[in-house]
Amino acid sequence: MKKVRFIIKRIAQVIPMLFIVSVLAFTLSNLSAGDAAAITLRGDGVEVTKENLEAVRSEFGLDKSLPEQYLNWLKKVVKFDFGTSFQTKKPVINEIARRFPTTLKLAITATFFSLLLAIPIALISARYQNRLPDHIFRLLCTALATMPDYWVGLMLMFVFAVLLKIFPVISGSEMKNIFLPAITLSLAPMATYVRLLRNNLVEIKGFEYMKAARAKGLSETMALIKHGLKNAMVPCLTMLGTNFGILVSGSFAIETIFSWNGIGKFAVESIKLKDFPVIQCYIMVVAFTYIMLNLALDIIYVFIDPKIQLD
Amino acid sequence: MNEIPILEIKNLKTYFYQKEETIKAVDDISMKAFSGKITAIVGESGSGKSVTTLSILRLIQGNGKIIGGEILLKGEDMLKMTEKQLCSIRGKDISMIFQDPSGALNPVIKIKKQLIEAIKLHNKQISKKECIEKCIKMIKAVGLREPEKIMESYPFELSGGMCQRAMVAMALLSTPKVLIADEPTTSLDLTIQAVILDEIYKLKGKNMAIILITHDLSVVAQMADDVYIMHNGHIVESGTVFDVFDVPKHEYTKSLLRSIS
Repeated sequence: MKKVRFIIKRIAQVIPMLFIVSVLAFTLSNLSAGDAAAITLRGDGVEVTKENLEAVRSEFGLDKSLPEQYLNWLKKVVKFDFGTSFQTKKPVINEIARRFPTTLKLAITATFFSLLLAIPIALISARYQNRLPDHIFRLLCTALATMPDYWVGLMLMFVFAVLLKIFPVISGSEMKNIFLPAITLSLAPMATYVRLLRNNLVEIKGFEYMKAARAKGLSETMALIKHGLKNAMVPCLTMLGTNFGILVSGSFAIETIFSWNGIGKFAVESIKLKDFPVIQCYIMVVAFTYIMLNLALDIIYVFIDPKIQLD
Repeated sequence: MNEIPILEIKNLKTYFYQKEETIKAVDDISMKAFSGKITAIVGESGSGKSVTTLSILRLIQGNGKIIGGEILLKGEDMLKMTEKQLCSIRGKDISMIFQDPSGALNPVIKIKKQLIEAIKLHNKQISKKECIEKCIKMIKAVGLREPEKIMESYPFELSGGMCQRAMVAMALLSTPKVLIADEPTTSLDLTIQAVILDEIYKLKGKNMAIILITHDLSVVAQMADDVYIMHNGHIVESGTVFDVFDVPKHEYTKSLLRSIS
């Protein structure tokens, strides 16, 4: 019962958070330098005259005061109408809706890979603490955490797509080609998970309940898996949430390298063109996903760590 | 003492290797434990009591190492056993109760799962229903009420005394031949101490060999049959409780006894 109340309370907190995000998304994009009307005109190849500027401004509602613009915008946003993109002249929500799932797919797959790799590696490192496997993995993880993802992406592409021809060079946003970009994005988070998990596991190894688990007859490896892992995972969840937030906002470099038609690439292009509606919609969608994810994590915490305070 | 001991330690040496020096935590000790008897190991902290118990289970970690001696369980040397053999002995033939009950239970796993694990590890065929029945019976046997509620609890929802009883129940589920109780009451309230000790005393009647680690001589006087006094990794004196308490020979034992009278 307490759990249900906690969950309802957390969900209710989403609304004010979204409101704050909407204000920030709107004002910050308007504060940036450059005249959107002028850029739109140039983009269309129309001469920038005073009359033309005014025509564009009144068309997009840019001639009104900022609070007024915000309210007009918000009225539409609650109906999922983010306006028309300055660059494509199509409804923004459709443009984002087309690209966001592509990025989300990549983010989920990358997170899945990073955990899939991190858990066994951390277990092996903790089990053979300060012995050869631990040293090798530590070195590897330090290297992976420091290598820039666009470089790793190019190298992986060179080896697996160009030399070995296992994967195509152009992935074309298709699920069957997701492996290379997902692995690229998973490596750096994986390295941080490994280090955190491994250190947690090593600390937990010295706890009394691990000794008790061994005294029951569990082998060292099984004791780590059954009694250590769940305890060690709790601090990792927070980091998982942050990393996933970064992933859902899309990676411009990786999406470009692997020609993955996602939200990151689109956002960067829109920022260059000062395509406000797209930028605003992008911020809202990413923030919404991020908030929902953290909500989900909070709820998961309640089930993983029974000691969590529900009040 | 002409019966055959269930557990016999001969010349056990457990050393800890640190950068500069070697700490001889347990240095050449020998002792015997018999079925149906309580054998007490007494000593101040740092005297090597706990290292002795961990050595018996072969659970010395880190830079510690058993460098010599024999630990004979029913005549078989545990120091020569493989890790796999040891796993089948730990928790089945030899069980252990730890000093800090709330620390020895996993904080994020329900008591039920932790108890069932203790059974399933050594009896893979047992059905889940049988398992739960056995757990409930054992929880009742250690004097806890509402076993179903206890089973569904997490350790932090129970008091220290309840946790320790759950620990005792867990240790007894596989009906071990040897039970090691490492300061089982040190972290508990005085009133609960007596109750837990009483539960342990009752096990004597079930033909279990109990090794009781303590620094509390009054507990030893009440409960133990045989006693070993440890000091600085050595056993300085041993014998039946009456021998040791009535005519202490060693200077350390005398000072220990003086300190409580």
